[in-house]
Amino acid sequence: MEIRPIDLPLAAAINLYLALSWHFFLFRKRSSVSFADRLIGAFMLSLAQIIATELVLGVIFKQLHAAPLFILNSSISSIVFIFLSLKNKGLQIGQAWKEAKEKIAWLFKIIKSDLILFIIFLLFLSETAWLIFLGYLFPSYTWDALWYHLPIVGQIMQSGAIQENPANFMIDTFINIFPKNMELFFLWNVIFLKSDVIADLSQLPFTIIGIVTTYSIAVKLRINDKHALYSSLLFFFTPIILLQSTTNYVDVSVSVLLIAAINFLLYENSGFKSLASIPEPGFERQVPILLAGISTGILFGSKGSGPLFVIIISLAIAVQEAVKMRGKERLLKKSLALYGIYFYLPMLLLGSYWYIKNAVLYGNPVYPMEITVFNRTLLKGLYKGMIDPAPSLIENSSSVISLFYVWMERVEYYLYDSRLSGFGPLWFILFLPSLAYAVFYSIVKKRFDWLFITALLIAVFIAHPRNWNTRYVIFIVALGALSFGFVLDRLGSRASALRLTALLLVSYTFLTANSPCVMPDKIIEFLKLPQSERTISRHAPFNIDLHAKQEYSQWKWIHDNVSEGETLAYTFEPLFLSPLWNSRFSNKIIYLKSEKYAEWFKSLKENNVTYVLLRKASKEDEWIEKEKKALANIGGWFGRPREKFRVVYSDGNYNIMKLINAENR
Amino acid sequence: MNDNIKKEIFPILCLLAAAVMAFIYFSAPERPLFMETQLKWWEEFLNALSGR
Repeated sequence: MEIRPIDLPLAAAINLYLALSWHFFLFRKRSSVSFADRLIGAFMLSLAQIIATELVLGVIFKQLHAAPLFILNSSISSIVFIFLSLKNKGLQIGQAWKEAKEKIAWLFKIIKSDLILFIIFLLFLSETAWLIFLGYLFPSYTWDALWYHLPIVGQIMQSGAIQENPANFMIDTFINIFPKNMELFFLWNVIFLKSDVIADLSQLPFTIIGIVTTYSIAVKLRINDKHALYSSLLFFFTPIILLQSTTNYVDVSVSVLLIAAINFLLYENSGFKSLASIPEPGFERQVPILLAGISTGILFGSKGSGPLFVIIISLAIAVQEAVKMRGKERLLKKSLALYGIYFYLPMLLLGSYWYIKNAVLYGNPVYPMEITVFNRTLLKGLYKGMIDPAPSLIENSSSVISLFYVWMERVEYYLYDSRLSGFGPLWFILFLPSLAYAVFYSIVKKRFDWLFITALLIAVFIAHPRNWNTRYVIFIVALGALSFGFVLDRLGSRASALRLTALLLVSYTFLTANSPCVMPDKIIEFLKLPQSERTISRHAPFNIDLHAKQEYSQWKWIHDNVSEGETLAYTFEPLFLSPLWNSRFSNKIIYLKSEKYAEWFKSLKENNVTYVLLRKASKEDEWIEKEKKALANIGGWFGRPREKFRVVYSDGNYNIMKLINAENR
Repeated sequence: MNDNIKKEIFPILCLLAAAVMAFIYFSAPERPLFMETQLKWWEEFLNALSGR
């Protein structure tokens, strides 16, 4: 479905309005957070507003539709603008604009001063433009996106409510229990455009924020600006980041949220007190703590591994505060209150809903994971360990061997969810030795700022049960990139050869991070098609092709024919739920099954079903066929038979029937 | 070892480490196949662009 001309400016306007309101809000806090951190902060505050408003509308009012969401968000941002206008010195638009221009000029001055950095920057711009182009051109094609990330969006959109749905199949259980903060952001990118055309680009803003965050951490670690820019841009050239930036997965987002939270917490680290980049007069300690809390809260509610991240961040805060408290116990109360209000409160508000709901409904906040300590089951669940085993190639290897096997990337191609590759050559060749050096140096020289961030990220990495899987631990690449910036700093003017090596590896990644799911012939074919025909059925990417070939035809029919307000019932477990919605997510889907025809038909009527998707020779198909024959016989005696269903689509595997009453409505 | 010698050796060590890691990475048995896959992708891309 094409985007209507009115929807695009509306969607752009609301996004811009949100971002600007928080940017101006943070501009008033510029004595507390740097320019780069205000950009990250404005993104986090906007995202928090989006998630919070969707939770309020979806959970409490069951009215999560475009109009109320638009009104609520524009009202909140208007209140922020009015509040700022009424304060001393007003909005300060002129000053904020002047600052932005100065920062951009300063950025280009640094980039232009180094030819290698300039070329890397050009490659970054080209790659970003390419990702936007691919994300726009192709529909969401990744396995988990079709399996549960987008169905979560579809279910919320069709009901206007964030609620539990009947768990007819295992995937429904997972859809119910997963923390859904990121899916709420996917929904945000669909609901105003009334199209899923850019939903698969939802992770790209996180990638960009990841670059800014890496830069900001580097500056806090006293790496000079030029080398900090190297670190941040090299972080971008990680194949798994590039490939996931055009997918409805959540892995880039999760890692970026983690490093963003740590970045804000670094203001609290005593190792940074002498930093010139952090303004001392007027510094409000609570501002970065609040932004860290918001980032951690969004992270907490984005993935099942959220609690692990929260526990380790909390331990890091405790250690940091304990160091500060030595001999100053009176500060403990103040510190507890500060973190309680500005870190833990926003974190719980933004991330805890999913866990509280699971605790209430399933008796276990991390359901379906079973929690056992010393052979005693504390929380009952469906499984104790990981559901999917490690790939056979590394299954029986030690952790270190497994990691090196994956980092050596012994694969034929990169993939958005590759289990045996993803970090690219920059990580293995430059970042890994740099990280070893940075750790060694920081221990010997007692660089506590470095030790803090290294210990924190390595602890999360070690504690992660799937750390061999690159997509789950993207954050460690940021640490590697920072270490490389640190090495460049140490080398000073003698770093030319290393910088040139970095450029060669960036170019290599630029040329080789092509997904086999997006082949050149498809790019050309899709360019010639109108947007409404760029469907998953026509795309037929190799990752789903083997399993989905027999589904394409019915998906296409559904995409072309099932309209807004119509309901499609299905009677079996489909391969993916997502293609049962049209690209606007404007129809409804429902699973209806019964042991008796009369009951089944009654439920179709009660649910205002328009179409029924059936497997050929299924029980329902036979019922309908049998009734059709019976009516035909009766028809001979009493005139025109009154059939209840009309076949509107048929292939070797499926029938789609239209309810004739529905047709007459 | 005095500071000057350390300063001289450090860049060499960095390059040596990168060279060793690059050798290990690029000598993986699957690397030629990986390169071949990517070359094929670009060949198809250029062909598609030129309309062949």
